Amino acid sequence: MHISDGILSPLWVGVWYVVALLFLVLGVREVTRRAEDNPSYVPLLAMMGAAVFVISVWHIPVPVTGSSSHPVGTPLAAIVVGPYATIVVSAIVLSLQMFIGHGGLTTLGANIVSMGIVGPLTGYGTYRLLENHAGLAISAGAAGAIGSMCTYLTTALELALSLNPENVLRYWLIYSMGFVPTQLPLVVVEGVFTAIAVKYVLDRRPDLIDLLRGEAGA
Amino acid sequence: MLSPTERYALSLMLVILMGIVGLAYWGNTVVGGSLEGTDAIVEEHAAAIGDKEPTNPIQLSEEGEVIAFTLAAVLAGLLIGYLWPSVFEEETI
Repeated sequence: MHISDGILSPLWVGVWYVVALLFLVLGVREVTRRAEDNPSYVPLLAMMGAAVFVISVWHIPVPVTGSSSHPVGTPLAAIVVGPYATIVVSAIVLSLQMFIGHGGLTTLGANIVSMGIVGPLTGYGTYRLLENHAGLAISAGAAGAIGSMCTYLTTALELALSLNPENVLRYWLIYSMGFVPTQLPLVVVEGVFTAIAVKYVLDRRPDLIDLLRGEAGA
Repeated sequence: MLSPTERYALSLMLVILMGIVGLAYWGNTVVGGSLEGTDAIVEEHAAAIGDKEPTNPIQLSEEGEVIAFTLAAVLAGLLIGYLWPSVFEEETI
């Protein structure tokens, strides 16, 4: 889902930067508020940032398609540190990943929107929607899977909007079909991984996730 | 002597590594795929349709990319390991 420089038109570069900046303001507010409430929130945030960094460059081979792809990790981060704080984490991660040849500078806004905004918000939304109706494994697993797939579908949409404005739907489907066959097994992996990680956090530090629930319910 | 958490983490790393190596062997040798990333595949296809040329601020060779990814992952792993006790092994939050 990392789009390189030179692909998006100047108009869409600007649009995605504006959208990313608006959400980043919300993210910085959430981080500041929660860090003030509890200074120990910062190490957790840094740890999740490092985890998202590794997960989102972790190319997993998918033999049946003869290609590889990577999970995103942001749905997990959204459940553990909060969906808006994950936007800040993603912006930092994506900025650093540019230095290892992953993603461009002009496309940073678009990459933040797909991985840092759509991934965590759809993942966290799925988790909150299902947590009272399904078990932890299903709600966290579905959050990881749906957040991951939505990230890639958003990247396909960003490409179609910029490169094929005359026929966005058709090219969105074409680009999505480029991602989906390889991504399908990976979203299952990301779902299982997210479920295991959330269960681990709940077993060891239930207060972390309860804190988020309390804030969302307030 | 390793703690139970360290033993678990090392075992998990080994299992993941073996899984990835096994998948790569299957994909590359048995199926014969290039195992190129879908990001690059879709982007190159989209760029060709839109008559664009993808570039990155930093261009790395294939070997350079492997080294950069490895170093970055090691640093991130060290950071996670350093912060892990303060998050999961002490009642600080």
